[in-house]
Amino acid sequence: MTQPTPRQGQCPSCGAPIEFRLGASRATVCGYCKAIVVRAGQDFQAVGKVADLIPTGSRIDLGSHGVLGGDLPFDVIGRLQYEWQQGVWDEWYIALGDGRWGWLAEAQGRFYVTSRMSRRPLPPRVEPGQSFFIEGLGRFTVGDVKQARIVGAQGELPDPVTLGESPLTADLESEKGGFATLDYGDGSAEPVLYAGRQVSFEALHLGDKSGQALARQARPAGEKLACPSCGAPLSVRIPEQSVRVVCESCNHLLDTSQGAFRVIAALERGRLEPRIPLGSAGTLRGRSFVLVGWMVKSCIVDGVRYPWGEYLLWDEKSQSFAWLVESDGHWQLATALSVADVHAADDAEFHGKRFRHFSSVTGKVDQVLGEFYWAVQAGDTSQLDDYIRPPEGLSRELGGGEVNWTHLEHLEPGEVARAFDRPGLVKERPQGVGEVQPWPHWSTWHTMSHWMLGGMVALVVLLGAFALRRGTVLVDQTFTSQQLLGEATETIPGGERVHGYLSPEFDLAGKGALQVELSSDAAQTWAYAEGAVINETTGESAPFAVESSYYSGVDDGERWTEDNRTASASIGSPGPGPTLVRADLQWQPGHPPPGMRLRVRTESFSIWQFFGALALLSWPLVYPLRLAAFERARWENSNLQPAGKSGGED
Amino acid sequence: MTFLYRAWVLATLGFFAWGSLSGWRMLTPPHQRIDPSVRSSPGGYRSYHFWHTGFAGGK
Repeated sequence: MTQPTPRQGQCPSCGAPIEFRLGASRATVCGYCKAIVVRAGQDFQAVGKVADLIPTGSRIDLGSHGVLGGDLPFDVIGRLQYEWQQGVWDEWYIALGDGRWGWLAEAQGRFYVTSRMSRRPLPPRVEPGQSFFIEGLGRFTVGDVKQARIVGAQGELPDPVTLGESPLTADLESEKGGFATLDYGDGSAEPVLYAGRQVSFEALHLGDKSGQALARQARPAGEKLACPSCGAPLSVRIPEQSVRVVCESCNHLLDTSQGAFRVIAALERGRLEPRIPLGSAGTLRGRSFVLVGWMVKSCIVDGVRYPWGEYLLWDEKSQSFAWLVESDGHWQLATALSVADVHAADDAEFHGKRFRHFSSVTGKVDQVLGEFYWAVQAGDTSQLDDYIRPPEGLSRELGGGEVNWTHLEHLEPGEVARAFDRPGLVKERPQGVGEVQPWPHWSTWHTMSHWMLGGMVALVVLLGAFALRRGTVLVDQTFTSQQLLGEATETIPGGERVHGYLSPEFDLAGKGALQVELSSDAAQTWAYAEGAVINETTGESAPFAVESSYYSGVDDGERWTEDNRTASASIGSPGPGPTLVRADLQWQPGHPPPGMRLRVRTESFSIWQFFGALALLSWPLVYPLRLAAFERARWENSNLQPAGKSGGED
Repeated sequence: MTFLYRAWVLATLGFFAWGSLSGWRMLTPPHQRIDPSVRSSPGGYRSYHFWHTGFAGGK
C-alpha cells in the first residue's frame, strides 16, 4: 500500500516550510528562495529557481479567492507568467471548491477560466482562422497560435516547469462564448486540451486574502510618468492595458509590458497629426470613449499608396477597446468580434448576414502616436481582408500568428464631429464613396417605391372601375362595297373616291368623351373616315379622322403583316343636345372600296391617358440607376471584382 | 422630396380620374363652330386641307 504524498515539508534548498494545498499539485515555488520544489514520492526535490516576476499590475494575487457560476468557490494558489512578442500575461492556478483545479488566465483586461479536459481526438497542428469540431464541445475557431516563453512562477503548480521553455499553444473560441487552449508543449507528446469560457472580472467575485472585494481598476487612469528618453511627463490613460506608449514630446516608442518604460525605438517625427487630439472624450453610438492612440496605416495597390487613419478608443465602462477608422473623409466605428462568430470563405457570414469580399491588401503601420494595448511598431505589416454589407462591414487582420475580426459601422462625419466636438470635420467633404457608406437615398427610394407601387395599383383599380362603365353606342353604321360606290360617292381633287355619310340625329346626354372607331376588311389597301360629331343646336363640332388599313408581304423570305383594320380616335364631346355624325369615307384610288363599319360611342376612359399617368408615376425609377452608379463608384475602390475575383495588389 | 412625390402621386391619380369622368382628353382636335346652313349641305364642313389634298395614307 502506497503512502499518501506529504503535503507539507521543508524546501530542500533553503529549509523554509513549504505546503501543497492541492493534492493535484506536483510542484511549488518556495516563497523564500524561489526554488522550484517538486514532489517525488515521499521526497521533495529542488529542480531550479525562478526569476523575479514581471509586474503586470494585476489585482489578483496568491490567496485571492472568488466564486464561479455563483456557487463554485475557488482559491488562487499558483501563478505562471508567460511572455511573447505582444507582452506578458499571467495564468493563475486555481483550486476549485469541488476538489478539481483549473487556470484563470488574465490578458489585456480579459479573463478566461479553463480546466484540463480528458483525452479526445485533436488536430495535430492548427493555424489562425481554422475551424474544427472538438468532440463533446462543439465547433471552435483558432484565434492565435503562439510560442510563449515561461518567464516566472509563484506558488503551487500542477506540473514542474522550466524557465525559458516555450510550449506551442493555440487559443480557440466557440460561437457560444466558449474558450479553449490547445497545449502542444514541445511537440513530443499528444496535445493537451484546456476548455472553459471567457468571464468578466465582475463575474469572478474576486476578493483578497482578507476578504476585501477586489476593485477592477488598481491604478488610476491618467497616471503621470516621465519619458525615460527625454524626461517629459507621460500621461498614460489606461496603464493597466497599455503595452506601448509613444512619447508625444520626443516621439520615442516606449514599451510598458515589463513594468517600467523601456525605449523601443525613436520614431520618425510625425508627418501627420491626428485630426482628433489624443485624450479627447466623446460618445458614439451610446458608448463613451476616450481617444488614447492614433496610427496611420497604408497599403499599396497597383503601385499607388492608400493611407488611412485608425484611432484607438477606450471604453471605460465596458473595459474594452474600439477603433475609429478614417479613410478619405469617410468614418467607421470598428469593434472586436470573436473569431468564432464569423465564417469566411469567398464571402463572410456573421449573425446570419452575408458580407461581400471587398478588398485584400497588406497593411503597414506607418506612424503611431499615443498608447496601445499591443506591441505596435512602425513598419508592422498584416494581411487585411474587408467584407462589406453597407452600412456594415467586417475586417479580418491576419498576422503575428493571430487572426482578429472587427465589425465596422459607417459613421457620418457629422456624427464624429458632434461626438468629439470637432465641428471642422463636417466641412470636409468625403472623397468618393466610402467602403461601407450606405447609399444616401435609401430612405427616399424606400418611401417613393412604396408610393409608386401603391399609386400604380390604385391607377389600375381606377382603370378597372372606369372600364366597368360600359359606353353607349350612338352610331353603328356598316357600309358594303356596293353602297360606297352608290349615289353619295364623288371624286375629290386629290383623286380619291369619297362617300358622304350623315347619321340620324341622336340625343347626346353628357359632356363625356367620345370614341370614333373605323373598321374595314381592307387588304393591301386603306380606308379612311374624316368627319365630325356635330351638336345641332349650338353648331359645335368635334372633328375626327381615322384610318383603317391592312398590308402583308414577304421580304427576304420572311412574311410580314401590318394589321390596323380596326382603328379608333378619342374626341371631346360637342356638348349635350341633339347631335349627328357626318363622315366622308375614302379609299385608295384605283382600288375597289373595302367594306367599312363606323361606330361612335361614349368613352369612359382613355387608355393613352392611363399610360400617361403610369409614366408620370414612374419617374422614381431613376433612383435604381443612381444606386447602380453609386455601387460602381464604391467598387472602383476595391482591388477585387464584385464577384469576388482577385484584382491586382502589389 | 418624398412629400412632393406623395403629392405628385395623388395629383396624377386625381388627374386621371377627373379626365375619365369629365371626358377631357389630351391631344384631341380643337372644336369648331359650323353654321346650320353649312351643316345641311353634305360635305360642307370639310376643311381647306381636305379639298386640296385629300387623304394620301397607306403604304
